[in-house]
Amino acid sequence: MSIDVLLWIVVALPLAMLAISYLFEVQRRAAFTCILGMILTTVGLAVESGYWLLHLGARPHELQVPFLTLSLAQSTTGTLFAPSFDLEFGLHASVFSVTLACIAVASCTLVAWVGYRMLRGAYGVHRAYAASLLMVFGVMCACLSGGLITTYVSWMVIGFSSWYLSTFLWQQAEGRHRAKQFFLIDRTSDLLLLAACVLVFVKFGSYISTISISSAATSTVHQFTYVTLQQVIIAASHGHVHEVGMSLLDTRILAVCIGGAALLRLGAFPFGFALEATADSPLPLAGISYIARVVAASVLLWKFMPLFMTVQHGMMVVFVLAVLGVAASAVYAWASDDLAHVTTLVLQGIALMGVVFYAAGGYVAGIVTEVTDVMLAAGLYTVTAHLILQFRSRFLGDIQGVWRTMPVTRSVLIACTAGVVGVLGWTLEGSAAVLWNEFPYVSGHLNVVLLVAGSIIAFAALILAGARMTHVTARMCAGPLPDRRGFDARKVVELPGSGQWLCSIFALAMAVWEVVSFPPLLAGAVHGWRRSVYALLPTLSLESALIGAGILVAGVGLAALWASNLGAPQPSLVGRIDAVRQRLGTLIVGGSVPTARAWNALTELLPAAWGEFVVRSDDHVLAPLAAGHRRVLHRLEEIWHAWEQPESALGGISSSVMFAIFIVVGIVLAVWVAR
Amino acid sequence: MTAFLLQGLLAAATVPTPVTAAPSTTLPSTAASTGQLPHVLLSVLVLGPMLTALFLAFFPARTQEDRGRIRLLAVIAVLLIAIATLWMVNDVNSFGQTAAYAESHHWFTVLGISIAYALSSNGITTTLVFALDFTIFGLTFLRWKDRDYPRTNVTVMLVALGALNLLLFADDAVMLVAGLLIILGVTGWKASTGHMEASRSWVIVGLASIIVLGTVLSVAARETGAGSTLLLAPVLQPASFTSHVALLSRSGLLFLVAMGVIAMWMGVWPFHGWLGKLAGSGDSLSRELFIGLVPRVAGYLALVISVAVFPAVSGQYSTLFAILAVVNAVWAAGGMAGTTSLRRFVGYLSMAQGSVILFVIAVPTPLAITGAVYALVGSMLVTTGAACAAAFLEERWKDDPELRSMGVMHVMPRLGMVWMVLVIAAAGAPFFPFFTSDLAVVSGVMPGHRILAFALLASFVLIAIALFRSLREMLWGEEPHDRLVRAKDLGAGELGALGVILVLILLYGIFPSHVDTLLNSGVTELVTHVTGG
Repeated sequence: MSIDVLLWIVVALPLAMLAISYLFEVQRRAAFTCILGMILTTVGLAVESGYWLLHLGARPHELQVPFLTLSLAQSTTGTLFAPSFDLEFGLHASVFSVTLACIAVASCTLVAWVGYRMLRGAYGVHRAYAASLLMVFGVMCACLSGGLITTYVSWMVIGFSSWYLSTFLWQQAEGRHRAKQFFLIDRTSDLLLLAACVLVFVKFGSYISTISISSAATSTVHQFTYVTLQQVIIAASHGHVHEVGMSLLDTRILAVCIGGAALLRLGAFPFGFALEATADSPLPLAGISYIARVVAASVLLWKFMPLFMTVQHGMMVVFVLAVLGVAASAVYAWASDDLAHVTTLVLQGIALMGVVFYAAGGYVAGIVTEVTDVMLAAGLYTVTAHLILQFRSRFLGDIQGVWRTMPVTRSVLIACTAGVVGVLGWTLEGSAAVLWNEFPYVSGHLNVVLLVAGSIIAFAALILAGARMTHVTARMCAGPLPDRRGFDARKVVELPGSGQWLCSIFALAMAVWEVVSFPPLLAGAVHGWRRSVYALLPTLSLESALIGAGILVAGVGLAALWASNLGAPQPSLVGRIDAVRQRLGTLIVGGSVPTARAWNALTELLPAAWGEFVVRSDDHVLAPLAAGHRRVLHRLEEIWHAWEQPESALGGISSSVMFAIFIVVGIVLAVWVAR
Repeated sequence: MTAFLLQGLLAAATVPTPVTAAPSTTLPSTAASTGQLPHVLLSVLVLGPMLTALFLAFFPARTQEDRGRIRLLAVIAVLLIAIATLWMVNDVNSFGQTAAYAESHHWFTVLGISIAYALSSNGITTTLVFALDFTIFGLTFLRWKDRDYPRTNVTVMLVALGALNLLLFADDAVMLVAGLLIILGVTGWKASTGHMEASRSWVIVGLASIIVLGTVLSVAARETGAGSTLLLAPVLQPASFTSHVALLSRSGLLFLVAMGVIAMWMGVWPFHGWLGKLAGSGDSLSRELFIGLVPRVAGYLALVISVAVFPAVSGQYSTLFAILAVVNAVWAAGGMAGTTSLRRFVGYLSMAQGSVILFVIAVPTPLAITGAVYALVGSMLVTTGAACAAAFLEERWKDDPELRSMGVMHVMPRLGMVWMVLVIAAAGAPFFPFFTSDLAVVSGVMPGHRILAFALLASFVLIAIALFRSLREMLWGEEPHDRLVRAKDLGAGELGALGVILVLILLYGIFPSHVDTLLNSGVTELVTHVTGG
């Protein structure tokens, strides 16, 4: 059997297993068939990936299956458009795309396997697993897509599966509401991508010629070297974008459609709720939905980045939106006290940081960020789901005492948190690299200012997100089990047996990945690429460290202040804004509760800080400000006590210290490898 | 045995008519090359069901045994007809364009216009007839559960099948009008048996439309100078009406009147009123025929008349039809989203499918026409399937089901899954027919009206939203509706009948390339009229 045939079998496997699962009327058997499909797909991709790595190297393969081919009559009039019409389900397999697919599918399989023990009693779980298997098919096609049709198919499959997965809770109003949200946002995203596909067809005369666009990117990216902005522009200029002669307007429309589709699915600002809504899908399967969406959107952006390069200000628009998305995620993460939401928002911040890198020309930095995010999502969603199930609550205030009662869970949780924080190490490095390397090619003062300011803001926001995850982890680990009504501490159990092993192995693999996630750095050093910023890193490290430290202090302070406002009553202004937003169908601004809380924090923070200096009387106007200020202090005290409880197993190691250690280790490691 | 007897009878009925080859070189007859059966195959497909219906109308239906015999004979007859279409598809697919069938000879002359008995098939009609006949096989099979009035229902079904086949094969304006009259008469009579109010307006408007259409086509036949016979596909040359390009020219007005009539049969905005009435108060058989099948055949006629009869004039009204397409889609989406009646929901679904055809009339590129045929096949299957599923639910509900918190999934998971598949197919998911058709149509029309094509895309999203709303209201809910608490799920027979339609939907979606040879020949022939060959 040739390696190509095996790849086709692997791609068709999820669909075949999905069909087989519908033959079983027993839920358990149907769900198990779906899980088996995921496992076999993972194994098949692993074999493929290994074979590519050992034998084929960087040589890409194009595999096409004709779906529909029409040779149409040619028009003799000028107004009619009559090209040939080729719909082909094409794959573009390379060592990179197969490996990426393997990692993504393996992450999904882990979540599905461990999650089954948690969900097996739920009614209709087999349907959720069917959606998950379909999502695996979608994410695999997204990674391996060799043309726009395959991309569009994977896009629609992932959108539909997200919706279908959320209907697992169709008996509840909440589930139906989330399904509606998913459907709205995904169909809009589908529409944009379809419009882009048609526009490409109209201009190129074929759907499959867009492989050339993606090839321009993949041929350079799969070498795992750092790609500069200039190189990508050169690659694009040698590709079909210029040869076809698309007008400036067409190119812009195409960029808007593709960028919009990807950012919508990625939940970028201002559509933050798209990813956050996954947190309300049935956990832990929401992790699969999250992974699929992130991977599909990232791959789409990555493949079409040359297109954005050719559009004036295109990259900068994507860059700014992604930076705003990272910042919004961090703010929302601090404003939310729902464990699933916090997890999703923190992960979303990392995913959008990858887009920041893409947009700034840092391909490999972006890809490494996205892959790490996918792996983190698998671990965090599994653990989060287990904790929520055991403590029967999603609210952080109800979850504590994990350190003493769940050793494996706590280990995985801390490893994943460390992973979140560990991202900061090479994120800082990557940011500095991008800034340094792209300066010569960025024209215009405004662009330079935006690039520098955006990178700093994004990095600061990511620090906030990391601090929030650390805060949450420390808070859940500390103290004894809660003593609240309706909660029986004796029923708290550890992860299921196989889940313990799998999660441990996965956490270990993730740690290894984090350590070795400096291939661009190594490649830059080995190849002696003089323009590689990583070779110049020692020059920048001191400055970057100083900037990072400054941002760290400011970020932690701000985070503490924001956290102090959690739970405060909504002022009337916020209520009105939220009501308007609800009326608009939550399409514009973002999620309901987190947004309201973020607005709450923002509107109360500044008056509270100002009130310290001006409140001298019982004036009815200024009294609320003083109350807000008192809440800040009270909340800070609460947080401090929560972190520093004498009986806490973490003892004197506060999360801040842990956080600082990770930062220092990351920087030291980066400098060491660079030298 | 009965089937062979029937075929023999049908063959004998058409033998006195000498079969000659079509006059055009672009549509040759296969009479000489593929044996005897192709000589009369089109006639068999048209007259066979009608004669069978006539035959069955005289069968006794007093006892259950008598009724069972009628049901069995009807199913066998429709199955044979479907197999004959399969034969034709295989033959045309094997021999390509040269294997198209044609039967034509002079019939009579009146007022200087020579009327011909002219039937022909091309790739497009072959594809449509294949889908149509198998769909009607599924519908006839559904009558198996009809214990009370099977004779009436299967007779109506068979006559409608013959008439719809006639509409697709007709090369002559008189035969076209005859087909419409048969359809109108049969279904109007059937509908009027219990739903007089709904059928009255339909019959009046339908008759008027037939008269107007007949007049327009007759005038067109004389204007084109193509002799007194109006052979739509093979005879008309692009020279016809091409000199009249002014918006308010006589040819332009004729075109608008003809398209208005066809639009009424298609049930598109603003001529969709009858569709709502029939959907709201007609019986299930009328709905399946008039919501699922007739608008699709009318859509094909609209394409043929605009492209073949008025090739140059239609271009003058391109923007008008593009706007109408978008308005129709938005209107239908709004109707689907707003109504609480399941019957009307299916009616609006049928209305929504007409938008694609309207837009293709506006920009009749080869690619768009190909996509339109895919859309016609897809909507024929999906809308008929939806009408059947709605009828099943209606039986259990004992009234027009109210599209609000039904909770069907609690008690009827099979019906729920069938509805879900139909909705997913109608929404244009990959590996379903509308995926291919949407891509082809939008790709084909984009160069003509870019902004309106984007608007059409946006309207697809609205339609999809309305479709998925039906899932929420129909399938989900915290508990089943009171009327459905004791309802039984679909039985094996019902599932089998729907299965025919579902299997066709999947086959068309997954293997669209299997009919591309058929479509290429048909589209090429049709587009020849626009491009000048």
